[in-house]
Amino acid sequence: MLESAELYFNVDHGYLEGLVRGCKASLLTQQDYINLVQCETLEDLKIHLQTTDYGNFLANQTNPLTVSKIDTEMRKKLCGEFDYFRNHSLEPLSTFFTYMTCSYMIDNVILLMNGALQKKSVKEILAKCHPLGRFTEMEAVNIAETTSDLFNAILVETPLAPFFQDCMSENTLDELNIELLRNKLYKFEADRRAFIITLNSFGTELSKEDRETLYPTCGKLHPEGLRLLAQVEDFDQMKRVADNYGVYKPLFEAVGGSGGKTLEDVFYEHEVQMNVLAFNRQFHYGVFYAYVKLKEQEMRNVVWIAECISQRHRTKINSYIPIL
Amino acid sequence: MASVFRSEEMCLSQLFLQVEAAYCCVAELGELGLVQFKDLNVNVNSFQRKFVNEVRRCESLERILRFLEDEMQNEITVQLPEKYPETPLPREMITLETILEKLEGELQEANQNQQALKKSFLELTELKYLLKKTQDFFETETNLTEDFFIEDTSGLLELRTVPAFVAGKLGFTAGVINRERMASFERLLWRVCRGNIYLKFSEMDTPLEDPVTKEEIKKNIFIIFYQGEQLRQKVKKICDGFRATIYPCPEPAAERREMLDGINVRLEDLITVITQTESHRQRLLQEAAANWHSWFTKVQKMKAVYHILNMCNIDVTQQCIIAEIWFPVADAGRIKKALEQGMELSGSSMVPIMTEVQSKTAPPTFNRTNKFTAGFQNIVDAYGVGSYREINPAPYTIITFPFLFAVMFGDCGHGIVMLLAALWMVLNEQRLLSQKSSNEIWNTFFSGRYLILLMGIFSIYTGLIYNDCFSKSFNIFGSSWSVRPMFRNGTWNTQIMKETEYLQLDPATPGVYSGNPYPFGIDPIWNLASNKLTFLNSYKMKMSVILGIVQMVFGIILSLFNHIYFRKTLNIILQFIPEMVFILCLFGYLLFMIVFKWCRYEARGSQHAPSILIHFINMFLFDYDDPSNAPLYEHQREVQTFLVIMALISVPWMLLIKPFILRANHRRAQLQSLMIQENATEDIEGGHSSPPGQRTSAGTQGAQDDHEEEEKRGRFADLLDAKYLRTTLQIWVIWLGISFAYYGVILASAELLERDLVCGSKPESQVAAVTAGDSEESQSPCHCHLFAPSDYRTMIISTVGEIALNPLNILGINFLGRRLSLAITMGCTALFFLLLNICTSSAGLIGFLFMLRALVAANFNTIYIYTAEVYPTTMRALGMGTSGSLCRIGAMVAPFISQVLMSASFLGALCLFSSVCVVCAISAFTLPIETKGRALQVSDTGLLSCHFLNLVGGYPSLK
Repeated sequence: MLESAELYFNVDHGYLEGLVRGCKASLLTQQDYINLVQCETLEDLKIHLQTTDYGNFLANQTNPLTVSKIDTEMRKKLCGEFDYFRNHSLEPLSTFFTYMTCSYMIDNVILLMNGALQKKSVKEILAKCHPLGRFTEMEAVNIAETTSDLFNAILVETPLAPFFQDCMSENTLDELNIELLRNKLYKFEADRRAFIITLNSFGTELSKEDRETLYPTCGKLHPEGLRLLAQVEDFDQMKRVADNYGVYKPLFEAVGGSGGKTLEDVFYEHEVQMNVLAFNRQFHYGVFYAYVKLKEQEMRNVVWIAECISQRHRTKINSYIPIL
Repeated sequence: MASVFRSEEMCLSQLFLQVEAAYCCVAELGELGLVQFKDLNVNVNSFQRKFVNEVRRCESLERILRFLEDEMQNEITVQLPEKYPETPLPREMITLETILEKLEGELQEANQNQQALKKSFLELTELKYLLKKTQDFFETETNLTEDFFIEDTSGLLELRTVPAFVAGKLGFTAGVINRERMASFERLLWRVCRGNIYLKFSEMDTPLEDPVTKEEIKKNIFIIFYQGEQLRQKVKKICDGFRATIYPCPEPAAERREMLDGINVRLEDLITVITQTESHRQRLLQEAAANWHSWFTKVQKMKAVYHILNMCNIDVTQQCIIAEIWFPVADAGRIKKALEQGMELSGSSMVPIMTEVQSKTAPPTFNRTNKFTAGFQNIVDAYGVGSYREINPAPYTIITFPFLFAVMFGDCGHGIVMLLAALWMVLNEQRLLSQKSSNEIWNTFFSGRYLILLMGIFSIYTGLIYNDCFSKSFNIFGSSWSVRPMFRNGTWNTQIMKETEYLQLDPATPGVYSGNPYPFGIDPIWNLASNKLTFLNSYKMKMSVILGIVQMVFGIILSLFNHIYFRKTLNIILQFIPEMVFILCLFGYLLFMIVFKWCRYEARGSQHAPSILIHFINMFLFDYDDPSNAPLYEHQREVQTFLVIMALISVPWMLLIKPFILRANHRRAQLQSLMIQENATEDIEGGHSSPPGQRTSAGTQGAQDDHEEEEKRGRFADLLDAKYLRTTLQIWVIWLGISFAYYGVILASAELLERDLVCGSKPESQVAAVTAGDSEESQSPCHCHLFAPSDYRTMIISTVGEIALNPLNILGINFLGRRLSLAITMGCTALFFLLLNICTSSAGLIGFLFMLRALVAANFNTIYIYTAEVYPTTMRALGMGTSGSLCRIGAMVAPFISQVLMSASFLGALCLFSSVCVVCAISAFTLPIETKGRALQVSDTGLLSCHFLNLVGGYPSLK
């Protein structure tokens, strides 16, 4: 970026920043969640959502309403907003938006490859793919047998190509390798990923050296923390590593506390916090990322509540993660 | 009729409706359109209300109607009904539901059939074109090869290899793909198969129709040649991935031809079937289109009625529905009638009961309009809707708005055009209204048609006055000016005519101006004058000033009627009278001057006429000695002085007294409401459930709400509340001290350099020089020497200190905490103040000043952050504000010390600054609250709402 880019920020991106802040103001509030939790049926949920900024987004759905319908419609709405942002953005913000779609693209590719392994039809899996991560070549993913195949044939022209350069191998794509590939590709949200990888690797045949190769090489943990993490064998040891970091210590302390939170929940909460904080500053692109992430969390919350309602599983309905 | 000039009298009533009759009654009231329902269930979730199921059913009907509308789009126009249907009875919903659901089902089935048929039609057409293309392709190629086969087989490889292999080892796949996917498809094929395939494609000329979306799609036909099974698999997968449709294509030409014939036959059959289903579908749609609008209106009306019912309370016995309504008192009869009608319709026997309710909330403003006044009322409402029973300015606007427009527009030719356009709209009103255009611009003009009509009429009038018609003048009565006398008395002659470009008519010459003004409007001779614009502008400007001030005075007089009506003597005395005095003394007098000057001066003396503008300006300056501007009349000085003083008196009269009286009243009201509240709680505890008891409790509920509102905003007293008292006082001391030190340092550093006070030796010589009186510097009123370049350097370097050490300060704030870091910087400030007293080199002085500036700036940073953080949101602005005013006080005191005292005693001044800083440091160290890492508070009792971002790194810990 240029020196003192703040001065010129509004010339190019002022409109979009204003827009995204407006969109953020339309996120569901605590009061909305309290009302949503009281809903008896999905119809009630729909009626309450009508009074929020979601408006009539479910109006054209035929009865009976299902959770997946709500989910798809919400996704559609988010994608609509995202596409609007992207179509109206200028460089370098447009590149930033492209980067934002990368994680969804990676997820989609992995999903498709897993599907191909399990011999599922492409159409079935395509429905599950996140619409933000769609690209034309995506559906041909299943012709690849090795990662280099995948790269050379399909991904070389996509924005994903630079990510793949490091993980070319001639291994055949079995389930473990796909999972490894996914973890090698993700180079962002580094610290959380490192912790989660470590946690998930307990009790698997993944060797410590292999595990270390999966860690992203950035973030606060890099490099000492990662080296320590690589040697960790159980949760308590992991916690001891985290204790060295002021940011993560309280998070690990919160695990298992009130309501039996898992590490993932705690990280989600922390993420929401950080995303909300992103709006405290002006003139940066972080708000766009933060907005999409917050909206996603909101969708997860609504879907969670909707699931609880439809399965009549009210005891856990309150474990959504409030945003504002 | 008072109601034209004021908004209508409204009345709040409770309406008791029998549950069965409620729907019909509300529907009848809705058809009447004169009732506003109050939402009595504000606190109930929308999905927990009584009639939510009915609303839901209406919504699903709406969904079906939207589906039908989508289907009809671009195919069938929906017919508008002659008359809008009445609100349907509740039982009609069921019939509507059955009709619509049946229609939806049938239509969906028809659509599905049609889609399936269209899909196979699409596939067959694709196949047909594919076969044709491959036919062409193979024929051209095989013709060639056959020749070659006969002649010489060995040349085979040198030829285009493809056709030869077609018959033999090469396999091929043919299909159709969307045109926009072609490019990436081709690239991917090439990459995956490493260039080992041969792709041939051609664009399909006829556009096809997507069976689902009905959009036009363009496709390409392709044939891929490859060798071997593996490549075939790959190609197939890629085709799948790109959603290309692969068609079986037989290799022998004869088979292909046969297939093509078969397809043609099937296509013809299919077309007949498609037309049949299409006509069936059209029939269904026609049926829907005939009734669509009335259905839609019915559903909307039903939904609206249920929405209103959701706003009502239901009594304990579930027998009746209680609504609260606002309605114009004048229409009470019509409303009662409508209720009775609703009762009859529903077949209920219980008459709806309407009882008046007292309410504290201000009633809504309702101005009855008709098609003529509606446009004007809209303009007035755009500026703001008046309070209840206030004078409605709209009736006056009917004349003033078009007139003022015309004053500005002023051209009778253009006015006629406007008039004609408006007349056309007014005369064809009925026809245009029934067209129901949705064009926003057109609707704006159309709803303002009467406004435009009047604007046109007035423009013609002012146009005639300005004597302007398409910017040309009429000369109807003959000009009052004559050129001949100018020649007769010899002012002009042929010589002058030839030489001068502009000739000036002199009205003072007898005969040039006839003495009788042009009978109507501006004399047409001005149209020829070169100074036309100057003359007319000055004239129009004065006219506009007169009109504008008259309008303002008129507005103020209207407010008098409001004050009298609402019996607000306070407003008359403290608002109306000073306003009138002010405007009349200043602008009324201006009007007087304009008119006076017009009357007083004539052509002969006009050269000596004084300027009104200068008079007006001088009036405020009390300047009457201007020789170039003669007084207008005798005693002008006395009159004007009196007027200015009156205007000046009216300002505090208007602005200062009323707020204090209002405040006192508010205090009294608060005390009273507190007492009432106590009484009311006793009442409730006593178990009185009689209607009057309920009413008081409802009343106090409002008061409580008000109270809560106020509680949320901070009050000054909160700052001195026990919880914050110590903090507040200490913060004030610190603010005072910091600003004192800050401005002290800045002024002192200039002072030091000016007088070379630093080492104590020079002042004496300076003083001696002053007394001697022969030094050059003593000539200037301030006894100082001029800055040398080195002094500027010192100043600049020390100023840089304010910024340079900021990062250190920020680190301190974040790691040591606000209190400690403030105490340290304050202590250091004190120390450096004393250090200034030491005799050092100039570099030492620069260093000390640099540090001092850095420290005082750091103090400011810290205290700003601390103050903002320590108070909860409700009091934050208040806390910052009062601290800021303390800071101003410190800044005001500083010059006396750093400039006045310093010249008397250098050491004394420094010691004073230093000791103030020490006090501040102690105060900072003992502050009761440390805000580092603490979350910002919303209010005293409020929960954490957000976490404040630290200036550097890290996030505050979660609690």
